[in-house]
Amino acid sequence: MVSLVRAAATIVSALIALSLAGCDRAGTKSAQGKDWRAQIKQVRMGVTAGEEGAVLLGTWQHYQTYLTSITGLPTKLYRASDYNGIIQAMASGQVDLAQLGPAAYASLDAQVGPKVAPILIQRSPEGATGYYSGILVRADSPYRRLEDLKGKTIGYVDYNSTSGYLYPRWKLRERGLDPDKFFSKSAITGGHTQGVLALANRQFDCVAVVASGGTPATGFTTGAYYELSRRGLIKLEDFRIIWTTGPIPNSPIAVRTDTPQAFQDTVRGALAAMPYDDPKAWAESGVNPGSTYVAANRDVFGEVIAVRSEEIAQRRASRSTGEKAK
Amino acid sequence: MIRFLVLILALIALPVLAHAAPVRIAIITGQALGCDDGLANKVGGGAFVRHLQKRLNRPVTLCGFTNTVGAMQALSMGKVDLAPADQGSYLPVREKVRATLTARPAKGAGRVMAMAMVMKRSGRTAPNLLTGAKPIFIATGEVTHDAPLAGLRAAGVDLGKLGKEVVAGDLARAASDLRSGKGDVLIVDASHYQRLCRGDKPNEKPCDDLKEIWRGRPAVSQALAVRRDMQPDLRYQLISIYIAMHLEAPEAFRFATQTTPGVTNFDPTEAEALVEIH
Repeated sequence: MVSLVRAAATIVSALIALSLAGCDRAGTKSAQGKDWRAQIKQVRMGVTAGEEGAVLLGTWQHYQTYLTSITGLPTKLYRASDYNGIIQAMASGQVDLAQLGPAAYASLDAQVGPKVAPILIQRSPEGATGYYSGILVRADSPYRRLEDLKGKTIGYVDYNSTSGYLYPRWKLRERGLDPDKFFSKSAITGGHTQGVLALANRQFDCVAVVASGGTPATGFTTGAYYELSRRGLIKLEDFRIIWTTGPIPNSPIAVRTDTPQAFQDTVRGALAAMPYDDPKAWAESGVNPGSTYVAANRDVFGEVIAVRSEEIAQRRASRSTGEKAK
Repeated sequence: MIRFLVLILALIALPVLAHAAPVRIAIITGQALGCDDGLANKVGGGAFVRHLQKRLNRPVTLCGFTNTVGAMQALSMGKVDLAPADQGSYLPVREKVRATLTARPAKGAGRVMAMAMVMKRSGRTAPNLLTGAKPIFIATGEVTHDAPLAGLRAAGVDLGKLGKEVVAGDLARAASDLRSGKGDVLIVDASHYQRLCRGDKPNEKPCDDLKEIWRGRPAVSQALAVRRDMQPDLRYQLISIYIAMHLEAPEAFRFATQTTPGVTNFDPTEAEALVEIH
């Protein structure tokens, strides 16, 4: 009799356990949630100084803290010193997600295809999701229009820079101008900041740099040129932008698609919710006030990917022509 | 022996059941249909349910309600996990539920963030102290005027008790009007705020003499709500799936927005987005 009562009690306990499991709706922990954490173990995020220049490396610490609190996993930041560093880290799977420039994403897409996907881009308070490339000259130079720069020297940022290389060259080609012939000489400066400083030091007649936080109509408020002024390294009045092109889709946050889907969605949802759930951390991360994240996918970067392919084809063709000439 | 077998059975069944727990999405069907696995096909929501099931890796069930009041009551009682809300149906149950997503209209400025700034010396420290204050706007228009005013109204400011409006024409003149006392509170959208207050030189603080007494967005009339005690992972996953639905599953997006046509995408939102303080 006693053993029967015990058995009945055990059955009741088991049924309660089953019932609780059955009630594991939205309000309690799910086994699924544990699975991706066991697989990921830590969040590895790659960062570079943003293409738009508004978000500096130090401010990613706010993201680090936020993602750690959301996921309950340690979030490690992998800082790349150049565009290629972040491309290779993503391509090789050394990092799970990264913020990278649009052209860097296009390069990554060419290398690994769907193994990496853009998931978020920033949107301005007015709803704009793009930024611009600007040709910057010294204010004491005689250059007022793009045509004035024929035969002059230009500094580009990096082969993987959208605003500092890819888009200005593409737009020149669209106008029937071969950038490699239009300018007498070009060189890579290694960064937007380096480009502006090189122009200040008269190493070039012009540089192609990012122009953001506004439009050609309203004027710009962010980008390396403005950041350097705020740091006291240049004076804004010593320079002027004489030509712009864009808008270029903003720098994406991209993820490795071989990570668990639940991880990708948790991270994307959490980052998108950050301006609303943790407005203080969002503001302190250096974004423009009122900005938010919106979802992105490969299609958003279709033009950048096409321009990147065209640029590579052009370079190969030029190299091939050069080799034949030898 | 029986005890051992029952425990083993329970241990085996636990993860299976946990995995199988459906996410229950409330929809307005005009009549109380309850949660029904067959409802999706009846109401043309097959693609929507399949998309969510695939992404969440768990069952998704639609639950039909007569109206948002019924849906929000069910949400507050834990009978559904996500439900459409409006201001009237949200307020009675707001202690248990929160807004989490809103649909962004194709037309209009959307939920533009705005700020209200006064002179530090004015002594005004909060938006509820603006009675009689003359507001200064850069210009009329949705972004520079209407949306910021709607935000202030949501924050509890009685717009009827504000003083006569000053429309300055441009940002520099608006700031000058505040400093000269032509108006008492400068109300600007976030982009103009950045232009005014960011500064372009080292240690430059152009708004050092001003005090920001409010920043916010207009309230929304409709939102998707969840329970406040929903597991954060699931809320973030739902946010992720919904904000990208227009890109990743257009047919599902059409179903999800069938009662709010003319929207472009879903945006996350703050918990109290449906609240207007009166």
